[in-house]
Amino acid sequence: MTKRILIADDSGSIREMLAFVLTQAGYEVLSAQDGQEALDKAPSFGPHLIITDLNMPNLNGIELVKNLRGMTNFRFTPILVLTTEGQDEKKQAGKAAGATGWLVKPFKPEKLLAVVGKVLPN
Amino acid sequence: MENPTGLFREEAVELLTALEGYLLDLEKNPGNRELINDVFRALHTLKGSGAMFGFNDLAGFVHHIENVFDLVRKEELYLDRSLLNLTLEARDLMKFLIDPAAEVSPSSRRRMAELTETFSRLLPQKLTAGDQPKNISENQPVFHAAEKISGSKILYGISFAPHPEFFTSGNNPLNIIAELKSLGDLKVMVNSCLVPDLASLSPEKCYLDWRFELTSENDINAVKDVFMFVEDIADLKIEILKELQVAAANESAATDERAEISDVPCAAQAEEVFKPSFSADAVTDSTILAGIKVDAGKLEKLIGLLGELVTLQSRLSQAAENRGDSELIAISQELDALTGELRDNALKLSMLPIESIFARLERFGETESAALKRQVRFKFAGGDTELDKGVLSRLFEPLTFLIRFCIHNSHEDPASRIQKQKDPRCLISVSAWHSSGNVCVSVEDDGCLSQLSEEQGAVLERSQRIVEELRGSLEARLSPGRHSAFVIKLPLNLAIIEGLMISLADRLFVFPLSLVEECIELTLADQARHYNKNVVMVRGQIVPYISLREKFAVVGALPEVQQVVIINQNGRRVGFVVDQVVGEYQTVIKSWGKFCSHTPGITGATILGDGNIALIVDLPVLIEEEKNDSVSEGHS
Repeated sequence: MTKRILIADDSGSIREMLAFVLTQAGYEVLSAQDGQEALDKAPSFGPHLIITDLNMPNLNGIELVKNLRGMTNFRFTPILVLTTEGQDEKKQAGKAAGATGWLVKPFKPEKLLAVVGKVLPN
Repeated sequence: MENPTGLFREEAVELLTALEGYLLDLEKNPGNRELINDVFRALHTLKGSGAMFGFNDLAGFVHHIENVFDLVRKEELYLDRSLLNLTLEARDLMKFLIDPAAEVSPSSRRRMAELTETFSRLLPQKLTAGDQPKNISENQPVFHAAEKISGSKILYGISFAPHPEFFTSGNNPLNIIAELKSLGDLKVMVNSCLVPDLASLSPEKCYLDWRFELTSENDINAVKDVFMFVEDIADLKIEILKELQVAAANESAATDERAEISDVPCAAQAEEVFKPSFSADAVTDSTILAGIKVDAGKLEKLIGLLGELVTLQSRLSQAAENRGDSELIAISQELDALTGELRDNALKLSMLPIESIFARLERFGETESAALKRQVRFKFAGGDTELDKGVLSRLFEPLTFLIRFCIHNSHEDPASRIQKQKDPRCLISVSAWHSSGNVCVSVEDDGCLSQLSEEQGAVLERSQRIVEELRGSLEARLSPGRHSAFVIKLPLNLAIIEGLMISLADRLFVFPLSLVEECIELTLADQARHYNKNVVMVRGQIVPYISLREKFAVVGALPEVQQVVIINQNGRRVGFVVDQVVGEYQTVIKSWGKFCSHTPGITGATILGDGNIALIVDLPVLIEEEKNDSVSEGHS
């Protein structure tokens, strides 16, 4: 079964890169431009994994994670947050909100796939 | 990807335009929090995406400005007009850094350096020190995996106890186990002692903890990375138990094609012990030290002590399990592995190649045939097959009986042999080989069997009894007018066997594990489906079974689901119905004593960890008995 991944990032280029790499690797990908859009799209898309940026307009990543964890369907779904170098407190805040793990930007495609594989094995 | 760099550049131009807009708006509405957040986010994206798409100059330049705005955002720094102007100026310079055609002028470069300096001076010391954005960074999960230590393997002991709330992080212990498995050979032990009753069990909590033993070529960082996301939601201990080294390539490759993995400590120790004695004593004949003679009594004592140790170890594992103390379980498991290794090595000490009795057998045969004036020649094969010394010394007698039998009864005079195009001398061959946990020894001739005398029958029976005392079996292929053959099948060792413990009502029994093929469940419905004919279907094959309760006349309430232990004897599958399969058990066989040494179906007993006794079941005898019973039933 194809695994579905929902990505939330306000940067078009990051979204584009994530979607491209993940689609190539055989995942089904749906993009959202911010946390609110991701939250709206999640129930009908039913992702097996959510990858979200932290700084986004409307609803930021931390709030998105908290909201998702409050929904029955996503209580145990893996969620990766995208952080940048030296954002240890962000990482911690993400984990405290219920994120599964993190991915430090910038990253290469193979790193992205390795981290995805870590929390979402085939 | 449709030119990602181009995509980023388009986005960066948009971001810079937006950034300019926010900054100009801020001039009109100083301190507007929403605008400040917008500025921060634009800078953040420029830096993050920039670095990812290879715009490292841009990322480096934006880095400090972003940090400054982080402080502004948190109201730790006031955004005054001069800072706003500096930011606007920086924004203009950023344009050069995203334009591939633009040659950044030296004066612009200088100005960038000055601005970087100015912005970083606004930051608290700790934020600037060593906080440059790295290129593709180290602080990433999973990426040590490629670092292999060439030529050696490491045995890691890992204790992993997830906190009860583990699952709410979206992590899954199974993923972790799968990832560990990808690193090498993995032994997984799960501790389920903390799982509560169903009534008080919360399905969202994690009650299990694990102990892993991983043999991997990867270094410890790769192993740590597996647990990167769960460090703070689990108790974790990773230790290196042993470093295993593949035998030095230059030496072994040339001399020995079996480049085996050897234990470093052991190899080192062996060198310590043996090398000095060779050189210091200047012994020229190196064969002198190749082996030492040890008094058989000392060996027996050692094996006896080892048996006690194995029993004690079983007791320890059981106590540790019952207590659910994971530290104690870990220690007990390590000790278990060590005991097993010690046992295997010690048992090897008392093994001798069967070759060592071949010469004596030949001499015996020659004397015997000379006395009868019969021409016989001998052939021996499989001399390197090893047997327990005790077994070997007791095996000599029945073998001489069988050889004598062949010389006496398979005699043909040379003339008739020549007529049959055979060598005038009768050939007696003795061969030995290993066969699934057993040692087989055969004695065969190429003569022609005459009628059996009563006396010969008695000798055969005596051989049979000796072999059975050794827990082996003797199979004879005798038909008048044909050549004769005997096969003796013996267990590898007398003292300790791998057993499968099973229960009937509240009693425990042990099956020799070497005979066991598989275990399947048997319900009353299964039995009814086959009209209570005592057969089960296993993957389309009919397997007959024997009820051990019936055999041993054990009464008591039947469990709803019984187990059928299927054993394979000479290619035939037969099941034994038992109440429950308890598990594998290292069985130290205690001698049965004269009092009940002739109890059919029982070969001995073993003392369990808790002091109880379990009987060791003689499965082949039970099968034989059942066969005879059903044959006589058929006749009546």
